Amino acid sequence: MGIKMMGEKKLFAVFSFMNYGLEKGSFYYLLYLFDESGPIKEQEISTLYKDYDPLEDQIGPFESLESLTNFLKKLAYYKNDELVFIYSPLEFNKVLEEITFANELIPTLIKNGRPIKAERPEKKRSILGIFE
Amino acid sequence: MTQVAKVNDNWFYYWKTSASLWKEKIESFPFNNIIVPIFWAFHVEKPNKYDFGLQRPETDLKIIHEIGQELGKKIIFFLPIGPAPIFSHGGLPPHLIGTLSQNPQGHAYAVLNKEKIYNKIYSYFDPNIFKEFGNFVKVLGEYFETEKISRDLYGIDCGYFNNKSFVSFFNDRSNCFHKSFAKYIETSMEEDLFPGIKSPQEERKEIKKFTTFIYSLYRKVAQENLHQNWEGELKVVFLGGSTKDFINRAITEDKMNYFNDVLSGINQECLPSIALVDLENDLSIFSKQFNDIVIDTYIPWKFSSSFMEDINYSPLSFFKIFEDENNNIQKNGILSYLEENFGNTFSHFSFEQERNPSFSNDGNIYFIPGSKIDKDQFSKILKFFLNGGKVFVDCQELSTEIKNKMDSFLLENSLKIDKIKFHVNFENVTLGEGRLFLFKGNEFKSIDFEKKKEFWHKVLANMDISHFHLESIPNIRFFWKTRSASPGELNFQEIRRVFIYNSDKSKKKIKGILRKNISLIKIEPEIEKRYENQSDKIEFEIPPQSWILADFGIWA
Repeated sequence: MGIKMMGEKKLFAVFSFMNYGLEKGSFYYLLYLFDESGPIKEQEISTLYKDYDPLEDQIGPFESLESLTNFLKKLAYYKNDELVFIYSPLEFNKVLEEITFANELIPTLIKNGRPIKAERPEKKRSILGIFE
Repeated sequence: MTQVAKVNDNWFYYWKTSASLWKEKIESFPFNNIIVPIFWAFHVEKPNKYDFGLQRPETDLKIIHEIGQELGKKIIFFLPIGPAPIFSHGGLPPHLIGTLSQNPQGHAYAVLNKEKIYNKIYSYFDPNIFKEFGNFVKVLGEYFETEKISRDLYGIDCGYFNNKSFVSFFNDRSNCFHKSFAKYIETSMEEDLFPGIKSPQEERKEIKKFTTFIYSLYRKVAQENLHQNWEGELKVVFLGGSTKDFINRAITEDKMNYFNDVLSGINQECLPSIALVDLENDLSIFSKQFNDIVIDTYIPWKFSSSFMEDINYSPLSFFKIFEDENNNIQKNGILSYLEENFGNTFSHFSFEQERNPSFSNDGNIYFIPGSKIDKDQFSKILKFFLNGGKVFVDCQELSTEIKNKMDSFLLENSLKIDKIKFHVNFENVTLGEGRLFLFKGNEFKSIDFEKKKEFWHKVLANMDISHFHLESIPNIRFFWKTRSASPGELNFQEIRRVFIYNSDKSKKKIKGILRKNISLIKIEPEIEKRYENQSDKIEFEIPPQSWILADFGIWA
């Protein structure tokens, strides 16, 4: 894969796609966001995503997969994670089909995922300004 | 820290215990009501051949019935109508396993059981599954009748909470579902019953309609074949059953922070279950909360069949809130306000066919979405109001016909109408004790949360609700319940009990305000309480990770 993974801190994200029709458009939402020690804390997300509402149970909307990926790369950077693994519903379902025990989740996610390197934001801006 | 009793929700998994040990096991349950979920797959010998004790004694439900009779325990059978996450494969017999069922976001349902094994959930939208379920409940019904098993049976719809909304495991978006759905749409169009789907919104509406229709077929076949035992249908919310919980539980230890789901369950008349989470050695305050709310209150109240039984308390409710599909009422901030200021003393339902508002004279204040008011509902609302009831109507999506009827009613009866603007516009119609409160939900969109709170505070202050108000502070949670006064308590007409839980690591002080017709009867365990300057304010101090209960008498 060209990316060494042992011991590197990883961020996992599962997204969903919602189609609201021609007038309202179609968007991506992040449903599950976690690392090897558990779910990502609300404060960490809200620092980077100004519209984040913990009551909404999902993060978004993102207009494209690219903008969702960019958000995750930056979140991983600020969390000091080195790699990001992103899963579509289909990819996440494939992982679920493979596992039987709880402790198989993370290894199976890693086995089936395509790691992306965390990315430092291009320009130095305030953390709050990143998605404004 | 006050000692916490171990929690046990009295579900008896007969397939996990040798029949020779059943009596011992049932005897060991600390509470009288014992829930026995029926495991379809466990009774299947081969396709359409079932065992109820002929081959294996562990399949003989009659023995459970007899042990219950002998020990004086109340056995309640639960028959899942659709997938149940406590069983492997959701309960499906292995020869029927097909497509993994998917939640509305398109992800396969992911549920860990107590042993942290992933229980996969499969689609129920395969006609073969329906056919074999029909055969199973037919044989089950005949078995119950032949063996004279007279115990109550409930059809259960299993699900979890997602952001306080019940999601049934029956919901499916897998290929298997879409295949059935496409056939349904095709047939409806062929028969000119339906012009076709033109937008994603329409598609979602039709999917919901189709899902409800298929679910009703399963329920109907179960009800018809088990009519002698059938006591109704119940939603069961499995704590720790969402995909988010699955991920958390797979990576970290079980964290017993399901208090909000328990309260949401009670508010929505769903039975919360800890069948998926391991509380065996849990001594956290959650175990105490679950015992107080579900085991000691909700289950005895829900399953008591006679007023002669020793029941007692029911969850206290001042408000019945009905929602349409868009949750418009919730968006007005009323639920958050009530959670903070009335200690969750409300019921919250989807406006469904089976759960139309009853407008019973139980003192509850009703919230009704305009989109659901037809002629029948409109006349019920007016009757309730004329009899002294209090109703809030969100007129945002009221049909023109009902709006005209409402205007005529107000005009013809020369009713007292106060038109007020306080953050939003509303009309307060008064007739004796009756209140008809008309507002437009869309006006709340432009005001912030604090203003919404101010609005509801001002409006509800005029509703004459007799309650002991406890201030809302972080990590302090409440649960209120009520019962009629016993003959020895004739000074009062009602007794209310509140549990105040402190889940914080430090002690907390909490203040409450006594109203004129409310008296404090007792506090357990004995703690320091302080009355402020002989006034109606009481201050309690609650140790860390602990709780108190306080009983109040309500004067006639």
